[in-house]
Amino acid sequence: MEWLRLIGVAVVIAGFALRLRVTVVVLAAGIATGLVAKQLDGGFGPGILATLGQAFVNGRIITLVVLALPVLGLLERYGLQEQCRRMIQQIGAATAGRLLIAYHLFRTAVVAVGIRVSGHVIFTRPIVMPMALPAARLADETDGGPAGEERVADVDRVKAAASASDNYANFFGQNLFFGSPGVALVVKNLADNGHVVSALLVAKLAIPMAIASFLLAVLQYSLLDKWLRRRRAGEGSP
Amino acid sequence: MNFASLFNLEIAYVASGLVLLVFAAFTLADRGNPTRVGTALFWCVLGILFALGSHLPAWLNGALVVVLVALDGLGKVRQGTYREAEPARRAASAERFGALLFLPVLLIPTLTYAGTQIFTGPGYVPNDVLYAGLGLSSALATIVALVMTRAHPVWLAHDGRRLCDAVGAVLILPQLLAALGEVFKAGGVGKVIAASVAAVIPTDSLFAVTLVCCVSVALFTFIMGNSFAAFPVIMAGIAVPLLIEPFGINPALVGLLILTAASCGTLCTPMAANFNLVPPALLEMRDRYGVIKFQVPFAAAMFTAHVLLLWSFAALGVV
Repeated sequence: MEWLRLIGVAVVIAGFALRLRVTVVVLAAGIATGLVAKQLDGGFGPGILATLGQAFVNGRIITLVVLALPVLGLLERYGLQEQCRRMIQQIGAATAGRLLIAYHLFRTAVVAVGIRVSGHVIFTRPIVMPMALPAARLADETDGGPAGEERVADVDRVKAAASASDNYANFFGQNLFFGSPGVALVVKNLADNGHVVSALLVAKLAIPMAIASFLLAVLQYSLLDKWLRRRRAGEGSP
Repeated sequence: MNFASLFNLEIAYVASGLVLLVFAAFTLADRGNPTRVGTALFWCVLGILFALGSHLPAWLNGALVVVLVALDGLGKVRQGTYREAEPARRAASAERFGALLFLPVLLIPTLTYAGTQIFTGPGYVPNDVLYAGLGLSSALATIVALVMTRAHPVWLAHDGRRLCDAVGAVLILPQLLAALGEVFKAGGVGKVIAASVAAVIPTDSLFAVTLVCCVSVALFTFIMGNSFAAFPVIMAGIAVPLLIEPFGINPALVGLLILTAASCGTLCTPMAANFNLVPPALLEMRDRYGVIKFQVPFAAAMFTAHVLLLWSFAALGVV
C-alpha cells in the first residue's frame, strides 16, 4: 500500500490539469498526503495542520519580495515602464530578428535586477510587436487572396517570435537575480532535504543557461530573418 | 565591530508583515474593489503569518494558511482601484527623470550583493545576510525613491498594493509549494518515487539518473503548466536521493538546473496559459498555438543543453 503515499502527487497533477484554483489544489494535496501517511504510519509528526503551518512559516524568505513592491510601484507611478519603452524604442534594428536579439538582452537585464513584470502586456504588445512587423516589412492589416494568406502566416510567425523572446529571457534570466522566488525555492527545498547551499551560488549557476538561451535565441532569430527574406524575395516587389 | 544582529531575518519578516497589514487597511477602504473585505482579510492574514508566524503555535499558522486558501478558493481576492497616474503624466515624468528611475531599483541588488561581500566571517550566516540584506536594501531604495521624486509616502501604499493585487493570491504559491515539498518529505513521498525509479533505471549510471531527473521534471511541468509545482516532487523523489546523495554532486547545481530544465516543459505546454496562450490572444494571432510551435525547437535544444551541462559538470566535478 506504499504507493498510496503518492496521492498528493496525483492530486497536484489532476488539479492543475483540470485548472482548479492552484492554491486549493496544493493545500488539498498536502492534506491528502498527511491523511494517508497518518493511516500508514499510525501518526503524522505533530499533526497535519501544524506541519503545514510550520512549513509555510519556514518558507517566508520566498515571499520577501513584498518589501520591494512599494518602491517598484512608486517608480511605476513616475514612469518606470515608460522609460523602459523609450529604451526599447531606441533600438535601431534593421531586421525583426536583430530587434528581438536586442530585446532578449534588455528583458534579461530587467528581470536580472529583480523587476518582475508581465512583459507581454507592457512591452511585447505595445512596443516590440509594432516595431518588429515593419522591420520584417510586414503590416498587421492584410487582405485576402493567396499572397494575403501567406502574409498572414508571416505576420503570425513574427508575432510568435516576439512573444517567445519575452518567455526565453524571462525564464532563463530570472534566477540571475539572487533574490528571485526561484532561487529562494531551490535554497529552501535543499535546506529541507538537509543540504545548506548559498543563494549567491545558486544565482551564479544560472549564468550558463542564461548564456545558452541567448545563443540559441540568436540562432532562431537569425533563421527567422533568413526565412522572412526568402519569403519576401519570392513575392517580388509590387 | 560585528553587525550580525543587523541581519536578522525576523526583522525582515516583521517588516513584510507590517507592509502587508498596511495594504490590507488600504484595501478595506477601497470601495472600488468588489470584494474589499475578503481581499483585505487575505492580506491581513498573510501579514499576521509574516509578522507573528515565529511566535504563534504551528497549528494556528496551519489554520491561517487554510483561511488564505479558502478566501482565494471562494474568489474573494480581487483587484481594486489605486488612483493611478494618467499615462501622460507618467510619460512626462519618464521624460524628466530618464534613466535615473532605475537608480533605486538597481540599489537593491547592488547593496545586497555588497553586503554579502562585506559582512562575512564568524557570526554571519551568508543566506541571512543576503535575505535580510534584500529587506534593508529595499528600505533604503524606498527612501532614495521618495527623496528623488518628492512623492508623498502614501503613494507607496497605493502603488505597492496595486502590484500585490495584480499578482493576487498566486503571490503565495511558491511559498505554498515549498511547504508542500516539506509535507511530501514528512509523508515519505520521495522514498516511494525513488524506489520505483530505482526499479526501472540503472541508478549507478550518472547519465541515466541525470536524464531521468530532467525528463521527469520537464514532463511534470508540461502536464501541470507550473515548474514550481513539479520541482518539489522531483527533488524529493529523484534528484536528492538518487543524484545528489549517492553521487555527491553539488546540490546547488542540481537544484538550479532542475528548476530551469522544468522551464523547457513550460515553453511547450498550453497549460501555462499566461506565457503561451494569453500572448497569441493579446497579439491577435490567428494560430492560438503559434507561440508554442515557435518555442518547441528552442525548448528541445535548451533541454538537451541542460542534460549535457548537468551531466558533464557533475561528472567532472566542476562545481
